[in-house]
Amino acid sequence: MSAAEVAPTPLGPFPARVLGSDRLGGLALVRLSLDPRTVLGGPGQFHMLLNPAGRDYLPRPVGLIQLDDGGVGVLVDAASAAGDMAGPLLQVLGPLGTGFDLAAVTSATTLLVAAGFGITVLPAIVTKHPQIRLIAGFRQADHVAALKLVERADHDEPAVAPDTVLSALASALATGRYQQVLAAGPLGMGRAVAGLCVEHGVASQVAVEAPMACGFGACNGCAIELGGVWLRCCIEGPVVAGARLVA
Amino acid sequence: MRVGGLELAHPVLNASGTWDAEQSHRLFGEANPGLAGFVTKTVTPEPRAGNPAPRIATTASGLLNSIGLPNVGRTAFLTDLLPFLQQHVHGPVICSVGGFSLHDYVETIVALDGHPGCSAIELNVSCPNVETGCASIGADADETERLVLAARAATAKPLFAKLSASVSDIAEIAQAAEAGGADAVVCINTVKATVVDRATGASRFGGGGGGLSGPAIRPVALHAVLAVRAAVEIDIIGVGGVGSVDDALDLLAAGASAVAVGTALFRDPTLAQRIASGLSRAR
Ligand SMILES: Cc1cc2nc3c(=O)[nH]c(=O)nc-3n(C[C@H](O)[C@H](O)[C@H](O)COP(=O)(O)OP(=O)(O)OC[C@H]3O[C@@H](n4cnc5c(N)ncnc54)[C@H](O)[C@@H]3O)c2cc1C
Ligand SMILES: Cc1cc2nc3c(=O)[nH]c(=O)nc-3n(C[C@H](O)[C@H](O)[C@H](O)COP(=O)(O)O)c2cc1C
Ligand code: FES
Repeated sequence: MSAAEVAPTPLGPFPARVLGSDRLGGLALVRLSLDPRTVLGGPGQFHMLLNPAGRDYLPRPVGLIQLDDGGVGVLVDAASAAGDMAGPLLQVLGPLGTGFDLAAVTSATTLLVAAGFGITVLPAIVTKHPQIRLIAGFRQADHVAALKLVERADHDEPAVAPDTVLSALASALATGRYQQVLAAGPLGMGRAVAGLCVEHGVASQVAVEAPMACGFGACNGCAIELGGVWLRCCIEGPVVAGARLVA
Repeated sequence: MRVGGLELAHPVLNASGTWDAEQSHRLFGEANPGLAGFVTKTVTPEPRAGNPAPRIATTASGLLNSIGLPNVGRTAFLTDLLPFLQQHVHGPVICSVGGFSLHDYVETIVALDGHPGCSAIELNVSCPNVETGCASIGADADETERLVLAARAATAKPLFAKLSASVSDIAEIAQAAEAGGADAVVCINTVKATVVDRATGASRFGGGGGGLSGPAIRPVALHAVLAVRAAVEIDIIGVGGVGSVDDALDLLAAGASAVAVGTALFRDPTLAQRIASGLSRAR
């Protein structure tokens, strides 16, 4: 079968029951009745999640997480878990978008950087590469509890302001130990991380966040400008080569 | 069934700018699953990047967008996209045309008239997210008639005019389109709307402006279809908040001959199929 004939991955939308949720500070890990073998994509890919009976008419992009007990979870803020994502029956479309290229990842030479919900793309990488170094930042102190998802990583005290993530990253890059950085978080943070990596001559892949209405290339709502070229984050991202973010 | 001079297998189309046939083919294995044809994103003479981000905001009952007609431009549309659509779309390909002057529209229509991949032309005279052209033409009956006349002279293909409800009298604009020689009118485009930045008092959208779509505008679309039905003989394609078989049946009962689904496809990309089969059972 040629590449053009490869059968498309089934995307759903799949129904997902809410099985329960665990508080992580101001966030909540909502457990969903999904089979990880059929729905989970690679780290960096995302899903569109909707509560058809909920507040919002359109789904929102989320990073599904494979849990240690084999289940599937999604990290949302506690208000969403109690409200819009309380179910009972949610709808999930995906996996969507580009994921990280993990071919060259080693614990010794790869550095992870995550801000906010960016943390959700990392558990699968950390599970494969325990002791990999992670620099994490959160806007709110009560979101720091999300680090429980990546407890096998080697991380410092997390930052509760984005610029602290950047100074920790600059120091780490200055050691010369790292050959690549995988980062996930809001676009502004992604651009800053990519800029530092370019300065230090270190390769980076960055998963960026943008508002999304469809998640599959139909609405053009998620487009961001990279060096004069517009890119739809949902299909040409969310993971992009860091160098493109600073071009 | 025949709608506006086009043969359709059933009465469900997509709304312009809400389905990407190439991405659909790649992800879902079909360019226009469940749709009786395919309506393209509006094409303009030159490529357009669209408006700066942010471009979308959700509301409880729909979507606000200020996308600003990003598209590949006429040349790439004709040489790259249209051959793909010709090969992969089931049913007719309806090309949505936009512009900033009468000349813009006519040049594109002449080019499309000669292309076997284009089955029909939809004149977008109703996009709220660009500063000139489009909606300003469609807000004036005389300008609309002049544009449709010029378009009619440039093509023998079925010609639709896509109208806005953000005008004082949509029935009058529909009459102008009919007088100019349109085969059908498409009612409605998004309704002018925005989100505000409280600190500045300005629109939060990068491009200002904005348009509302989804369930919130369903009653507006129904009113428009009723008003236009009473004013013209030509076919009407009803658009605005269609998300279920019942929504489609309402628009058809109000006088539409076909419907187009837009924002609801973002919520569930498999919806068109269910609406089409639901309609065939219900009618
Ligand atoms: C690739 C990608 C991956 C992402 N991954 C995740 C992820 O894993 N998890 C995640 O949460 N976000 C993720 N996001 C961001 C997410 O899509 C939303 O932007 C984010 O959750 C904010 O949601 P919102 O825009 O609806 O919030 P807003 O509409 O701005 O809501 C504001 C506040 O209201 C709260 N709220 C929502 N619903 C209710 C309710 N019913 N009752 C009371 N309060 C309510 C919200 O929790 C929020 O605090 C991701 C984004 C991208 C692009
Ligand atoms: C993201 C988005 C992009 C759109 N782009 C176009 C466009 O290029 N040309 C056009 O005529 N209408 C465009 N529309 C309007 C739709 O075709 C449709 O008229 C409108 O959204 C109402 O239908 P709905 O409520 O089913 O979405 C767009 C709408 C949305 C939401
Ligand atoms: S979210 Fe719709 S095009 Fe990316």
